Amino acid sequence: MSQAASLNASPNNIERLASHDEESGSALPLFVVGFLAVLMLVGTCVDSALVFLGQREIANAANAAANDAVSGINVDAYYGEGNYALADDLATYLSESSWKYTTHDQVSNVQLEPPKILGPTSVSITVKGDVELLFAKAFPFVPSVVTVRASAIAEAQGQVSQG
Amino acid sequence: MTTAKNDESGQAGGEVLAIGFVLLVSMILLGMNAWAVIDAKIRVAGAARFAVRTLVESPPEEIKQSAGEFTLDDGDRSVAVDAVQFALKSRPKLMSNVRVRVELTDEAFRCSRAFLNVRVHVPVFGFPRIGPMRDGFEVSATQSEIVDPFRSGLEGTSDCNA
Repeated sequence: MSQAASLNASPNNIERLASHDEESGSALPLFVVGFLAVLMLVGTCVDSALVFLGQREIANAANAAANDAVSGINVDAYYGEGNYALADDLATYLSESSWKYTTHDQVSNVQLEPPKILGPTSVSITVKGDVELLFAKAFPFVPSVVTVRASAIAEAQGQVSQG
Repeated sequence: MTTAKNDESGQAGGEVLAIGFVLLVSMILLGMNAWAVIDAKIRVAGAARFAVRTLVESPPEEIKQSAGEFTLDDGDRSVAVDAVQFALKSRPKLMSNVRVRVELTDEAFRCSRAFLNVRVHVPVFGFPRIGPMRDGFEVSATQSEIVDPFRSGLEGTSDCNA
């Protein structure tokens, strides 16, 4: 008996083969969907890591700038009267100097805000910058740049002694 | 009756499983290697920050001794190298090939800027039996800070604007 004859003879076989034909190639879209899902997960991980690294870089830079800025005291007041008081212009100069020498690998468009003198011995530094994402560029409604911001406060401690 | 078409049923699924497994392993390796580099970057940046902070608060002779490039195996250890080793202690694999370079802007210690660069070699995970496709990655971080102008034991003025 030929195959055509058997198909003609049995309608159930026709239905089975027809449904089999409808499923042919169904693994390919599943594979593509699965691949895209894995790619999106990897992309999310990589982009999150880039933001995290950028955040750490900015935080380290803010720490360094704050530590330098807290050394910017009014020297005349210190040596003349023994008072420890931060000088606004010197703290700004030192934080900018620290900023100039800091290398930025992950962050671009970095901005250092002017230091805020919180008291005679403490200063606050705020830094922000943009982290460019890698995989997010492929998606139209997802921002491809994330702004990260970090603040650091440094306080001079210890006894003031001259001589 | 079985047809030739029926004999191939499930073959695509098997192929997808095989390719999917290779793909999954590749993605896991990619993720592991990427995270190893990110972790190393975080550790190295933290170590450099810790070491440069230690350096600028060290006695003058130790700051002088620290200038130059060193490894963790060098006998004549400086305070900066000790600080880097302490900071990286929780990641022993990173400590096999560490280089620490310290530069000072000038010899007048007060307010002079100290640069500290730490480089480590990050090994790569590869496929079993095949091995990694490259030797590894080099990760580095540089931090700088001025020598504390208000410490005792230093010469010169405390005016960093001078």
